[in-house]
Amino acid sequence: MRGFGQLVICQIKLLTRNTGYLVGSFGIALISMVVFGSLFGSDSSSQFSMGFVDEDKSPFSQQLAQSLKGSDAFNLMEGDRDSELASLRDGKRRLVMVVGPGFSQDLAQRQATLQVYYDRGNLVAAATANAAVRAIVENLNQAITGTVGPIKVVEEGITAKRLRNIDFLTPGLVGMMIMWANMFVGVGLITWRERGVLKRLGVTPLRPFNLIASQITAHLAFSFLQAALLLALGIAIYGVTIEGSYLLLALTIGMGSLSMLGVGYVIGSFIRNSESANSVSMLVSFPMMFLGGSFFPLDTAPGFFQPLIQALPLTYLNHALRQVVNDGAGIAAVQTDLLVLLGWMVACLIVSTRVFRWQ
Amino acid sequence: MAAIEVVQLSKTYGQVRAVDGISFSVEPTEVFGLVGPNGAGKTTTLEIIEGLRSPDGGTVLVGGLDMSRHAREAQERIGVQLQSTTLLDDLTVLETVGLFSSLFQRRVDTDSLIKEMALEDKKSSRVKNLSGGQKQRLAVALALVNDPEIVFLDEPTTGLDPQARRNLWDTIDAVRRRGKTVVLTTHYMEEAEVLCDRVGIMDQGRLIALDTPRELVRSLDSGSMLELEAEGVDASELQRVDGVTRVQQEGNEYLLYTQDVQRALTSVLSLSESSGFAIKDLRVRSATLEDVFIALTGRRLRE
Repeated sequence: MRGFGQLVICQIKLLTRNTGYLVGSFGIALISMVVFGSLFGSDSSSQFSMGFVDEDKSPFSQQLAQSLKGSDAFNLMEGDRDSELASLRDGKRRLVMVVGPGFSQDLAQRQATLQVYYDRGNLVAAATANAAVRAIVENLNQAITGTVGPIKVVEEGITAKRLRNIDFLTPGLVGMMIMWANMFVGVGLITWRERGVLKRLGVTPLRPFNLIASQITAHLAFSFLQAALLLALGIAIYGVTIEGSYLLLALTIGMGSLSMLGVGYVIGSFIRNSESANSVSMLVSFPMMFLGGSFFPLDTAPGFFQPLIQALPLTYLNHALRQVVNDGAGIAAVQTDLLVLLGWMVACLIVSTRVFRWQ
Repeated sequence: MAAIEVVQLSKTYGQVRAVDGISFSVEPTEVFGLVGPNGAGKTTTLEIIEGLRSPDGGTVLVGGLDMSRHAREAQERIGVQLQSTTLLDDLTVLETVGLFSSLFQRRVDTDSLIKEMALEDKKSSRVKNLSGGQKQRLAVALALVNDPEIVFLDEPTTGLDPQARRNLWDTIDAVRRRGKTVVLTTHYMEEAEVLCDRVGIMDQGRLIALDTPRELVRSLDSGSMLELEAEGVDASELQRVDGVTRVQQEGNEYLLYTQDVQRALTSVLSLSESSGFAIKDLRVRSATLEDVFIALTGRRLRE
């Protein structure tokens, strides 16, 4: 790979000398961190999701689920007892309600109980949530019996990990930064083509493959550097902790960068001139920044958005980053995310190698 | 063995025959020029020889290597300055030369190359801050980083002011003195006359003449030119004037080719008396390659 090292070094120099690029990737992430971190950093997570565990599976329990779903006080997530309680501990649920087996029989005898778990570390939030649940249950009682009282709510506090906004935000900003840092690789390549640089390199013994490899290497190196810097700032200023392994974190950052490079190359392959390619890259990046869940959780987003959200590589990158940084997850928890990112990269590279024109 | 051997080369873009079956060879250590107007096919020819484009027909041997199969091998041994390449604006001169040098197996000392191209003061300057002449000298420097046997320069002086052009002529002369074979294109005929050992004149994809500048001018059979500006002249009368071998008309200006200046001048003056046209201007000069081109095509090189 003759000239490869020099090419990588020169490309890194070019990236560091490109003010627009630096502001776009690192600048936006840094400003977001400082602004959001200072405004809302120490608040607890704004998620207001309630877990619902139906172990009775009777018409009554389903009716209960329906009435809870009808409430706009919270977003109901159904699951089994273990996973919902785990989510509560991770700070992803404010409240978990368990309908025990035999609930309907108990109800017939007018002494049914509902188990409600809440986060002991967040009493104010738990109290508002509890009040909402009680109101709904009272309504239900009235509807069933016309009188007060057959369903009793039993509460239990659980100590959940306190996930502050800044803890949630930091991995998301790393994801966003990786997106901005790599999405414009195709634009760079087209600019080189337009200015005749590719042509000039074409009369040297340099192989196109080596050129692309050097571009990818330079962007990877730069993404790692920026991610490290941003995480270091998060740790130093806001006390963010990285719970998981650094190796897995690096792997995730690398895979995320590669998938975004893939998307960048696809844009660069289909769009001939650099200015339009730049606009299209912006047009793709900007909504992805929000829909990829960098700034806020999207489990409460409207249903018609979900297919789009589930298609974006940034969604998986952010999920994996949060798993590793916030939850200390191992590779098993993020392997799906990493595979999706790998899939994006492979698909994009196949498409762009078929479509891209050197001249 | 010829440095470059081009046989029956052709290239078509849509309906346009950009290169129309041309053949020539370039000898080692000679400076070979392709001249002609814009769109004559000079650049296309050069880019096929360099291995940037593949021809529709014909063969190209560079240093004995068939470019259709051994382009990359040949590219180790050639140096290229492309027409109007913008380099990487944000790299410095030194970084740019270092980068291109790293792409080749054979390398020259970058510091002395930069010195030789009179860019030493600008070594640490970003490319975007260089003047037009400095950028062109850098482009020529990049064509020399691998100590090539053959150097291709595509319109190296286009867009330069006269001073910068003269500087670049010196630079090209320095390349020649290193014993390199140089192939250049230009649409400045005087440049070809100064720099080239042999000149091929291209027009509409064809090679319409090929020889040394001196022989090309001699082929006119008219060593001198009368440039006449006059009103109310009958061109066919001028054609019959004693001592004039050829006439080209362009509005009120007439270009008279002659071998005998004195006879032609006297005849023109007496014709002006007898036919009663007023001479506004009359100049005498030696014939140039430009006049060769006009004689061959009936058109000026630059319109």
